[in-house]
Amino acid sequence: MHTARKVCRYMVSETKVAMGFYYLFLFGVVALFSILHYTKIATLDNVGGFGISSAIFLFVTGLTSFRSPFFFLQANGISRFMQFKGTLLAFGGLALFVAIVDLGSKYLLRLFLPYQTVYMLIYQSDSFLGELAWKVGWFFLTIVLGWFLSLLIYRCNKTTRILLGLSPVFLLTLMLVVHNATGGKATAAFVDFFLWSMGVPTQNGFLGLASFAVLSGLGIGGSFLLLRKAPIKS
Amino acid sequence: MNRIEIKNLTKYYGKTLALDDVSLALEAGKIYGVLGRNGAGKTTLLNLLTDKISPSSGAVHVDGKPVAGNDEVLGKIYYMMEKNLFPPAMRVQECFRWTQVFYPGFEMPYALELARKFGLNTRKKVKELSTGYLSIFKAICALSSNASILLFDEPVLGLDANHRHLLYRELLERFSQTGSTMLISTHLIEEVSSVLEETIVLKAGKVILFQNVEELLASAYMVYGEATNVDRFLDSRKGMGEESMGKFKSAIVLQRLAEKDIQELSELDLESGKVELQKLFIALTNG
Repeated sequence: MHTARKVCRYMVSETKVAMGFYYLFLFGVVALFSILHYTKIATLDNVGGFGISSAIFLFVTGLTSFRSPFFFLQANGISRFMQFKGTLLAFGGLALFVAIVDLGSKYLLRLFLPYQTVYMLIYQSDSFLGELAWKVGWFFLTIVLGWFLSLLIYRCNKTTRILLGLSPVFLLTLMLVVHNATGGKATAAFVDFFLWSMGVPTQNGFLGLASFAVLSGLGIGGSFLLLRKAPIKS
Repeated sequence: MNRIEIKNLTKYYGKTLALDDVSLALEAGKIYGVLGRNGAGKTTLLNLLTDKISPSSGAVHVDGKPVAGNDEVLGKIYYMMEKNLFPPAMRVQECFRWTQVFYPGFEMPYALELARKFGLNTRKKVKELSTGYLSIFKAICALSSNASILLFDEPVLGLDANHRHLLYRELLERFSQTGSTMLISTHLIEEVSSVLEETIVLKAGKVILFQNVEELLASAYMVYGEATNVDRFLDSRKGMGEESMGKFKSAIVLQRLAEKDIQELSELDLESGKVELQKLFIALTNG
């Protein structure tokens, strides 16, 4: 079997238990909503956001997908490049699987709950293929970003790790300074650009997918550079 | 074949020089001992041989092919690191199964047989193993991998005398069966000396000795007796590792014992004997 596929198999096997627990939790939440809805304890006009929880789950999966697998694969004589390839293959598979489950649950949940997905809320569209592609792109981006972040933290020394930890504070402060200095114009421009890049004003999900692809590409490129010469550290 | 060529390998950690322009050619099918004091560069050398870290300069080739980033070559090497790289929550038997995935030649029946011999519970999680059993587990993975180049970094760490004896025996048996090239880095020199064919001694990142163990031991001898006589004997010879106790003294002479040496020893009422690898190592690496 090709080494990258072996790595992919290992990476997927590492997420099995966590995924099982996640879907068990999600099933519990759905069951709770259904009970509340049908017993009329609470009136549910709209249920949704499972896509966001899936994205968070995949982000955390990405965060935990570097250190331990890197060590284990290094112990088994796998090159960094093969680990990179196998990991991306696994991430692609996971993103596709979660997107299919998410989309499948949409059609299932809509039978007995007023369920709306994030895609439907943003793009007011119910296109199966459009939503599937968008979700795969979104989920792939979240898992890649989690992986990139864990690689970044791993490669940092003590000082850069502290700076990295403080960076959200710096960023927020900078944003506030710029916001005040421009009378809110910079923030409005940023929000407009973000919405445009997601294809919200034009109701174009494929523009959002293209943005996910660009960001994923940047994350993959950054991860490759960080992994290329990553040493075994304590 | 699996000939390992190390060319001008240098490694800096920040400003610290860990390995200084090391060049070696290691023939296939031999057992090499990588010896050196703490911080001499043994683990750095093994890490560089297996692409665990990148060199500052120089390269490692196996049969002319670079090791760095080369899965074909890396698949021929199994490196038992001192550090544990296995997931702590993974069970031993599961680790064996995954090692079999990545090393298709991994012999599961042999691994299980070794686990039985050493009394290793394969249902235990890696984090539940004691230091000794962790070493045993990693050594079993290495020996069962069927890789043609096996690297061991402190393979007997935490092992009791019985287990050490058993491991050396298994190591030799495996070597005789597979003919794998083995590199063993250890501090227990005297114990491992009977296993080694060649020795590589590192000092401050440099190779100060690379020689066949038998030849090395034959090219030196110990001399004992009254201190003044030992000093007189050493006047015209290269002595090292001198140790004094009262008016008695012992020293290592770095040359073959010739007929005229035996005669002079007799005249000075001195005795000679075989030098132990550990004593020779201490003498070579001290100071």
